[in-house]
Amino acid sequence: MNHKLRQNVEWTHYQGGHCESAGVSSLVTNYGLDLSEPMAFGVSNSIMFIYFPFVKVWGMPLISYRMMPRSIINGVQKNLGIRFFTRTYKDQDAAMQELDDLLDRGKPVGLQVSASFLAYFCPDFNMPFNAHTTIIYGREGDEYLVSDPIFEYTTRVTRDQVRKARFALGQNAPRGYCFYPEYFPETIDYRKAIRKAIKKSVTMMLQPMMPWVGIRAINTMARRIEKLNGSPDTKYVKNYLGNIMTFQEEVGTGGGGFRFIYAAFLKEASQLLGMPELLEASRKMVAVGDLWRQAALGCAKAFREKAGSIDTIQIAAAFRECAKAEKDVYLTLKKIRWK
Amino acid sequence: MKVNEVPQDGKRTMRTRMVHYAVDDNGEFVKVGSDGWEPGYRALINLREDFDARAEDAKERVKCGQTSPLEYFMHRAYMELPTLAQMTGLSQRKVKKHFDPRAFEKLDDATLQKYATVLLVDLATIKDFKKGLL
Repeated sequence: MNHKLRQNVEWTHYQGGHCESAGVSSLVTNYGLDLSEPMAFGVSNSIMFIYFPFVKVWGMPLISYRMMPRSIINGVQKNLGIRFFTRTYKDQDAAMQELDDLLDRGKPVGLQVSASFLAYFCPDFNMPFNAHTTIIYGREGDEYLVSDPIFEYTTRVTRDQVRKARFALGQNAPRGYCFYPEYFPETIDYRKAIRKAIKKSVTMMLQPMMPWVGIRAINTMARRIEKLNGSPDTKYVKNYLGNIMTFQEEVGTGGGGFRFIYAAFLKEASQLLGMPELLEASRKMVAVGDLWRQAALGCAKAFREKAGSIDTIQIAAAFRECAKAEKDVYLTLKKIRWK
Repeated sequence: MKVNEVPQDGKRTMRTRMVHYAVDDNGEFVKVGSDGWEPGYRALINLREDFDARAEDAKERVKCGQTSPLEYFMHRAYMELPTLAQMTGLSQRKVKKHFDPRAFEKLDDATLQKYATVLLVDLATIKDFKKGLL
C-alpha cells in the first residue's frame, strides 16, 4: 500500500456521525488515504466515559462519552503515523491570513470552532459550545465554503463568523486551532495500531483509580441519580436528567451514538485483521448502545412526569445496566490473544 | 440499533439530518439519516427556557435596582457565573461584585467592553439597558 499525499485536493463531501472523527476521516480521505470514520474514532482510542461533577457545562456536571476534543487528531497521528500540521494562534489576523494562503494553495483545512457563531449551524440554540470541528475547503471573495462533517450538504459562512468562531473564549477555547494532513506513511501496520488502541481503551475504561473516569464514572453517575430520588426540587432533577439526555443523544452524537461507532470500528477491524473475536465484541457493543438509548428513554419518561416527585431508582438501574454490559465488552476485548 | 429504529420524529435541533450508525438485516453497519429525536429536542428546549426564565427574573430585579444589567445579559447568553468569569478573565468574586448596581455604575469602559465582547452585545446596549426599562 502506497499512500500519496494529494497536492491539489478536489473536495468530496462526506457526512459522518460525529464532528471530529468525521472531520479527520473526511480530510484524510480527501487528501488520498482511505480512512473511515469508525476507524478514525477507534484507532485513536477515543471511546470513553467521563463524569466530572466539579466542571460545569451550562450549569450542569460535565458528562462526556469520548476523550477530550483534539484527541482524535492526536490519536490518529500517534497510532497510524499520519502527521498533521496543527497550530494555534495568538494573532487573529495571522490566523486568518494563513487560512487564506492554505486555501489558495488548494489545501482544505480543518478548524476547531465555537458552534454558536456559525449562522448555518443551529440558529435556535445559540449556546456556547467550543469544541466543534468543521472543514473549510475553499473560498470565494469574502465567503468560505464549508463542508461541515455532520451536515448533509456543504454551505457557506462569512469571514467575520469564521474569525469569531475560531477565537471564541471560555472552556476549550479553540485559539484558532487548525489542522490538515501533512505526511502519510508508506505503509500502515493496522494490526499494531488497532491492538494498541484497543488495549489503551480497555485500560482507560476499566481503570480502578478514579471514580470519574471509565466504567466507575457510569456507576458514580448512577449513584448520584439515585440520591435524587424523591427530591422535592423537581425542577433541578428534571434539569439534571435533561442534561444527561442532551449530552447523550442530542449534542454531538452522544453516548449511544459513540457506542455504535465503536461497534462499527470493531467490525471493520475484525474484517481487516481476520479476527472473529472482535466481531463478537462488536455485536456486544451494539447491544450496549441500545441499552444507552433505553436509559435515555427512561430519562425522557421522567422528564414528562408531572407528579410532585420523580422516581429515579429505575433510571439509575438502567445506567448501572449499561455499565455492566459495557464492562463485559471490555473484558471480552481484554481476553483477546494478539499473536 | 436497527435501521428502522433510528429516530425520525421530525424535531431537529440542527438544520440537517444527523447520521446514525445502524445495523441492517445482514448485520452490516450503515449510515442512516435521522430526522431528530423528540425527547432530546424537548430537553434542549427546556434548558433554553430555563435560562430565559432566569433572564426575565434578572430583568425584574434590574428594574428594582437589585442587580445590574450584566446578570440579565449573562443569562441571555446562556452562561453561568463561572463561565462568564472564565471568559472575561476576571475572578468570580469580581464578576459577582459587578452584579451590584452601585459597583456597576462605577465600572470603566474598558471592563464593560470586555463584558460586551463576551456577551455579544454592544457597549451602549448594556449601559442604556436600565434606562430603557424605566
